[in-house]
Amino acid sequence: MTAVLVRLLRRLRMAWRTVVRRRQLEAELDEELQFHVAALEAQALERSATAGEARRQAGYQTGSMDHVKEACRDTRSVQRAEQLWHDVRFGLRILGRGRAFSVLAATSLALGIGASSAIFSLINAIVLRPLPVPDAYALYIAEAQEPDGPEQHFSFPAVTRAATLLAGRAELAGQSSTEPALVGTRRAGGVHTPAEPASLILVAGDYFGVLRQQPQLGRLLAPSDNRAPGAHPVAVISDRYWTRRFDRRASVLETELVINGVPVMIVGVTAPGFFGTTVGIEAPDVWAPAQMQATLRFAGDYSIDDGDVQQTWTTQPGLAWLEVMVRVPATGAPEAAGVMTLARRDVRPATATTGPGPSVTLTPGASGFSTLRGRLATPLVVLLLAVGLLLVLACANIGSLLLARATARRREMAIRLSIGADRRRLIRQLLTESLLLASVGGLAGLAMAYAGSSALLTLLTSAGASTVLDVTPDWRVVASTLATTVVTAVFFGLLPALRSTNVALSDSLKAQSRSVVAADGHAGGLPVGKLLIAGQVAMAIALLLVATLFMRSLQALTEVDAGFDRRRVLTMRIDPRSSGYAPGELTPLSSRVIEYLQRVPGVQSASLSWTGAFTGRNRGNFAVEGYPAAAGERLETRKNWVTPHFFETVGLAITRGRGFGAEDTATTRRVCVIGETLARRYFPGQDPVGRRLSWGGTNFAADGYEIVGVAEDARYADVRTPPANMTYLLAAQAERYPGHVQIRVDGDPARAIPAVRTALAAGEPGLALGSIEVLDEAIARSMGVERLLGWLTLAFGAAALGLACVGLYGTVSYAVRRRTPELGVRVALGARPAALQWLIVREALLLVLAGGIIGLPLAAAAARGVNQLLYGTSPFDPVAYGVALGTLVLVSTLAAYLPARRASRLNPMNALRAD
Amino acid sequence: MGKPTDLLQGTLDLLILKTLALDPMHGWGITLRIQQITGDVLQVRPGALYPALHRLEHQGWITAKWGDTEAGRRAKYYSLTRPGRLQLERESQQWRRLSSAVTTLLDTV
Repeated sequence: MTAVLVRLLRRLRMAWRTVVRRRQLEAELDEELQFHVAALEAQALERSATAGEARRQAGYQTGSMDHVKEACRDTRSVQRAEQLWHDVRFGLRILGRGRAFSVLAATSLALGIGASSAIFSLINAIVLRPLPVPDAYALYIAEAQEPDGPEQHFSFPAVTRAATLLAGRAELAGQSSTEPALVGTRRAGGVHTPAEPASLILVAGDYFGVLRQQPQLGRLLAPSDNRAPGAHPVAVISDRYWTRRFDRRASVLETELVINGVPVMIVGVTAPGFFGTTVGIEAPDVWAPAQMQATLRFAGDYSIDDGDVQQTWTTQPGLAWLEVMVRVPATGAPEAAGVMTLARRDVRPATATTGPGPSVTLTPGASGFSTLRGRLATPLVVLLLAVGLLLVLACANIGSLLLARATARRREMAIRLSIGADRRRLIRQLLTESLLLASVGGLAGLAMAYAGSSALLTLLTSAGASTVLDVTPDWRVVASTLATTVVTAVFFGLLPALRSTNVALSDSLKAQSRSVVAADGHAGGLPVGKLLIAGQVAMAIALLLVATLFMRSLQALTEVDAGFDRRRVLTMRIDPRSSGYAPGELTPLSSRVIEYLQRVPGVQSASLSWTGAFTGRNRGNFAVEGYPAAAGERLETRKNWVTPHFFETVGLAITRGRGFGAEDTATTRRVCVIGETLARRYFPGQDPVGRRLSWGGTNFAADGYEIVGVAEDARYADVRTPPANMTYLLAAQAERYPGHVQIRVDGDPARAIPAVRTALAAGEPGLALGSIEVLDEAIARSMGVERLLGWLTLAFGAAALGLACVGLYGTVSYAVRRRTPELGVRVALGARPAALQWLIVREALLLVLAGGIIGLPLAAAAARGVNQLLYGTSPFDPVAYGVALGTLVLVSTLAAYLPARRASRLNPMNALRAD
Repeated sequence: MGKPTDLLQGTLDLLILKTLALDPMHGWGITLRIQQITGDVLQVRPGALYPALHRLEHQGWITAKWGDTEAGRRAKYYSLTRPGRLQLERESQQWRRLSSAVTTLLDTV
């Protein structure tokens, strides 16, 4: 122990001496070596005749004293740091001297490194970063291995059973998906605030315990809050919601939330920064017990798929699907999975048709659930590859520029080598220069990543900053940026460093500086440069092609006929239920709302519907009169309850029969309108009008809905999904709370929004109004990924093209300068300018051609690789290839033409004198 | 003429430590001593000697002090430290093991 300490102390003292007494050390080293030389001389003098001969012999034996000194200095412990400091200072001086080059190189590196870091920090936020909860790596996500893939959703009874069986071995949390709800508040004194949209999540098991959360106010939910259906009117709110809605007042604990019309008591506030387990765009505002589902989300609850609303929902296995997170030590995970399999089979016993049921596995869940991960992981990796290609291109570009500079610095290198510099040392010096350049780029890149990743997120979601996705760079981003910086520096710096220090001394020193350049041009300096240019062109082609493909795909997607006339339609959310309307008041309410809206100038028609025009989802199995279902066949359709003018308002044409009319009322026979897809599916070649559908059984006379018409298809989920079975039912014939309003307007719909809101607020002050937006914007939001891919790759492609052309321009200019005498002779002999220009441009075009030959297969391979992400566009889309190649040839010709024009305007006298 | 200082890696350190085991010596002295004892078989050039001396000093095996030669000139004298003595023992043992192994091999095969 003491020995180690003593050694350490001595090391420190040595280092101190080396740093502080460097001058003295140098003097001592000098003296020591001089003593040696003197002794050698003396010895030689004894043996031989003359002093001169003795000195010569001594010198011969000693070799270069500078070399010895350098080797001695190398043994000093802080020598490396000292050399580095020297290299850095020298490097800065060199970079400062070639300012234009340095700025250009650092900028292109900053762009490349910054873009890659920004994309990486997005990947980091979505895929890599663990949840901000204590010991996140002990969290696992349960998956039932169903025959058609893993299923992460479990029924509430299965979750409860598993929690019981696992007690003492592992902790278990269940959660529903986060759903929008309309939430108002009510103080004990009876003060109400109107309902506003908020996001609600239902939790089961020891949700907050598993996540190791402490309340910052009140208490959190515990397993005892989930004993009996409807018996726990309590909720916990997030820190953000507390701020937004309650100004962080402590009196929040005496306040009731009115969630979808049901009052519940606020019992606590979560810690700041806690957002649950789902890494996505939106965080829950309110946590409530899962046993409150029936109470809080009963009517209009589209997550109850086949639910029989008369029964207690917890007894129905198909209801209340919950995602399950388990906290268990890694060694206990397999056992816990086995227990969960048993629990699931307990709840849903084996039958002849289903078999024993799938087994449950636990997968690492440190980074939580994510709705984005599946959708974004591939596009982001594609973007990262694209930006990587761009970075390689930037490196090649800077590499070729450095190579040109290396040529110019050959003389400097030759001199330094000849006076005893170590080649490795010179290479280190040159690499330090590269590293400096890259560091400037890396630093700027880190700043770009900081700003860029949130900008990317905005492009992706077309929403404001996310509340959940933390894209601020963490150590992973910093480390990856650092690694990128070092790798790029070595990548673009090594080849020029090796080449410029590999000099035949005598040749370089003998030659005049000008001829060094000329001689070097033939000595193989250029082929490498040319190769680099061709490579850049090849990469630019690949990037340009991928960019054009994504843009074509985006274009195809934008032009999809969604079925809706979306440019002139506004959609609005309302919540009559939480506003306190009774089911019997709904039909008059709808009529009043439509009346108020139609008084607004510019409004042509209005309608109300149960689910949104573009967001609706509700399946239910039904029977078709006269259609014999095959064994096991499940007839499913989405349903929507609408008011009569729905079709004309959203712009869906009735292709057969009629829409709903004045003749259909609450007391007349029940009617429906079906979509074309459903008509084709169940009434092939027949007229569906007059036939009946039933959701209650096969007694069509009692439960049936008569089809009165067929409407054209609307793309319900989003524009990529093909149309689904769709049935429209008449709102007046059911007591369903409408949640959406559609308004068709003349002219710019966005300008009608304030008037619409004012009219409704004045006419129906008791009705909770949600957001109003143009239908077109809602659709645009569903195309975030395509927009991101399209615009980003386009930016990368443009940058690649720019870099390649800068390289091309540089090479051609260099060639022109080198050939100035020859060109002068040609001009003097009467060569026409056009012929001269062609001479130069042809050389450049040959390079582009070579690049094309390498690049096209690369581009085709890249295009095939991204095929999955393309919509309505072939990876071999001729238009995309044409545009990409055309742009490249056009721009590169321009880049070559500029120096060529300069060449053709040479004054022959000057040109000839130039050499 | 082959390179006389073509020593095995680490051998030079051993020679220096051994030479200094008797009494403190300057670099030139070490050169002479090694040359004399080995009968001119081993010649140490300054390019190898001085870096080695500085390295050993850094490792704490030898220490340096300025002194006067018999001729009255200032010179840097190196002497062995306690850890240096231990290191010398370790290295000589290793060397003996290695050389006897090589000798055995050469004699038998």
